[in-house]
Amino acid sequence: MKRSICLKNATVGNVCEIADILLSTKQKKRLEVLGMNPGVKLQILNKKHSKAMIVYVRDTRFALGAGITANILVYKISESKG
Amino acid sequence: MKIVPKEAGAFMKEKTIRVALLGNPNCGKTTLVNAITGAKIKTGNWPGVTIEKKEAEFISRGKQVIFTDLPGIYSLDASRAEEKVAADYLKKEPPDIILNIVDAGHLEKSLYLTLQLMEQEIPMILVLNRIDIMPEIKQKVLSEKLENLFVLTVSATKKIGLDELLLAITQGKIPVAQTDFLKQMPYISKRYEYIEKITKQATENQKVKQERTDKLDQILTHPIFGVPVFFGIMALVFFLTFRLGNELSDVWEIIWNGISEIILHKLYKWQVQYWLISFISDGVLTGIGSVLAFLPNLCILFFALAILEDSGYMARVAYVMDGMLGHSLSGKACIPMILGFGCSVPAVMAVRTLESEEERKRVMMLIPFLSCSAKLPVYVLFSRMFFGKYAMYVSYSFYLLGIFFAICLACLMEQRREETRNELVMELPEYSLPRAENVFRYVLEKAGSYLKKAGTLILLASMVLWFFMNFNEQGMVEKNMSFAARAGKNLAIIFRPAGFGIWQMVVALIFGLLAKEMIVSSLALLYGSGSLFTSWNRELLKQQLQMQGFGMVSAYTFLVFCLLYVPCIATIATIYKESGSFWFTAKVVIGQLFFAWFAATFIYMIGTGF
Repeated sequence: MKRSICLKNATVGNVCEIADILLSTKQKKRLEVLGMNPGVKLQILNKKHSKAMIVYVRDTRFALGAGITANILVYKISESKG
Repeated sequence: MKIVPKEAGAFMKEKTIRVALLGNPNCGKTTLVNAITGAKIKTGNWPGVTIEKKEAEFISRGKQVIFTDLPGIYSLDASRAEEKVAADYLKKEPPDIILNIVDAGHLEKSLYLTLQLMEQEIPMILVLNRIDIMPEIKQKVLSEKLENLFVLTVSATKKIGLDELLLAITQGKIPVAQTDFLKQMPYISKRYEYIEKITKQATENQKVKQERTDKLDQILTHPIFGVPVFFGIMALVFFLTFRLGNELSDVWEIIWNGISEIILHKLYKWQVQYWLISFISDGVLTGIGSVLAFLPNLCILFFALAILEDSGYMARVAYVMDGMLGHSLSGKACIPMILGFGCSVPAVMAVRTLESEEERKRVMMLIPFLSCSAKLPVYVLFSRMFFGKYAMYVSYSFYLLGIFFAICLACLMEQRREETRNELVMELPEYSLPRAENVFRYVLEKAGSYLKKAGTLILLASMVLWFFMNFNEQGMVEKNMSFAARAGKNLAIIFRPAGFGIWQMVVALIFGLLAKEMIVSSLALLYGSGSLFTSWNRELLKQQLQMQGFGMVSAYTFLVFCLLYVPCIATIATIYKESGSFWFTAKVVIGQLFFAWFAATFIYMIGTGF
C-alpha cells in the first residue's frame, strides 16, 4: 500500500501524485479547477523555508502558499527531475 | 472603458457583431484585441492585468465588430470577483460569439473552461493562441474530440491567423457547440480525465521548452536570495530612474526654458498687463514646468516597470514576498501593492482579485504607503536640494521605508478569522523577452496620462493656488497676507514638532491632496522660485527654505510625511468605490494622517537629538 506524505515535506525535484486535498470545499474546488485533483502528477520546482512552493502541474507552473502545501497529501513517485 | 479606433466611427454600420473574449489569465486575450483592432489596452506577462471588461470596436467587411475583453478566469463558478464579471456578462448581455482564447502552451489546463463555455449555448470559436511556440498542434484532433467545435490557430503577438479569424467572425456561420457528451462528466476530475486524453492526442511528441524559465527561477525565486534579488532589482530600477532620468532632465530643461522665454518675450512685446504676465509666468509656466521637469525620471521608471511586467518577473514577486507580509496577507496581496509603485488608483482597483473582504481592506490600507510615481518628483527635488551626492540613496530610502511601514502594519493587523486568510495559489507565466511594442505602449500611456494631468488638473490647481496666494478679501496683496498664507499659518503649528511648521509647506501639502506632484509645483509658486527645471532655481528655493530654518533633517521628515500621509483624491475616491464604505475610507484617511505625523515627528526628534 502506498504511503502518502504532506506536500510540504516533499523536496525540490520530487515528482508526486496527489492523494488527497484536505482544504475547505471552496479551496479544494479552486485547486481542482486548476487541474490539481487526486491522481494528478506534479513536480516540485522550488520550495521556500515557509514551505510555499512552485509546482509544475499539467504543463503549467503554480505558486502555492504554505497553507496550501500543508494540506495536500501526495504519493512520492520519483526523486529525479523530469 | 471603451476604446474606439479612429476608423471605426466613420462608417455607417450595417450590422453589429458582439464578440466576447474569454480564457485563462495571461493567455493573450488583450494582446489579440489590440492586434485586431489597433486598440492600446494595457497588457502584461502576468495573471490579473485585466480586472474589468474593456471594449474595442473594429469594422470588417462592412460589419461593426465589438470585442469585449473580459478578465482572465479558470472557470465560470463565479466564486471570485473576476469570474463573477465574466459569468454575469454572459448571463446578462450574451454575446453573438464567444472567442475562447487558449494558450497553445498550456492546453490541458485551459480546456476545462472551454468545456464550461461550450455549455453556454452561444456560438463559439476556440482560438489557439501562441501557435508559433506549438506549431505542430493537431487542430483537427481538438475539433473532432470537442464535437466539431470551430478551432482556429493564431499568434496574437506575431499577427498570424488574424484574417482567418475575422473572416470566421463576420461570416456568421459559427455553430453552437454540441454538449451532450458533457452530461456524462458532471465532476471536475472526470472532465480533466477527458481533457488529458484529448491533449495527449493533439500534442503528441511535443513539449514546450522551459529550460530558460527553470534556470532564471533558480536565481530569481531562490529561497534565500529571492528577496535580496527583488530589492536589488528595485534598486537598479531606481538607479536608472535617478541617474539616467536626471541626465535627460538637463536636455528637457533647455527645451522648456526656450518655450517659456518665447512665451514671456511675446507677452512683454504685446505689452500685456502685469497681473496677466504674473499669472502666466508664475501660475501656468512655473506650475506646469515644475511638474514637467520630472517627466524624464518618470519615463525611465515606467520603462523599467514595463520590462519587469512583460518579462514575467512581476508574478514571481508574489511568491518571493509570500510570508513577508505577516500571517494576515498572502503573497497574492503583493500584486496590487506592486502596481502601487506605478499609481495607487489601479492598485486599489486590483484588490478586487483578492477573495476575502478582510484582505481586500487590509491591502487597501497598505497601498498608499508605497511610493507611487507621483511621489517621485517630490523625492527627487528635495533629495537633490539637500542631500548632494547622497541624493539617490536618500530617494531610494523612501521606497524601502514605504515597504517597511507596509510590512510592519501588515504584521500588526489582527487576523480576525482564520478563514479570511487568502492562501497563495497563482499561475506563474514563462519568462519571455519583453516586447518593444508592449513596453513602448506602457511608457506612452503612462507618460501621456502624466502630461494630461499636468495640462488639466495641475494647470487648474496652479491657477487656483496663484489666486489664493496673491489675493485676499481686499484684492491683490503680498503673498504673506493672502488667503493661502492665512490658512497655512493657522495650520503650521501642527507641523512644528515634525520640523516643517512653515505655512508654504502646509499649503503645498494641502494642494498635494489633488495630486502629489502638486507639492513640487506649489512650492515653486509659493516661493516664486520659477520653474524648478534649473539648478539655479532649485538653489534659490533651498536658500529660502534654509532661511526659515528648514534643513536636512526637516527635508527628510517632510519627505517621510509626503510618503505616508493621505493619498491623492483620486485614490481616496477609488478606495471608497472599492470598499463601498464611507467609514472605512475615513478611517484610512485619518489613520494615515496620524501615522504620517507621528512617524515624521519621531524621525525629527531622533534627527535633532530630541
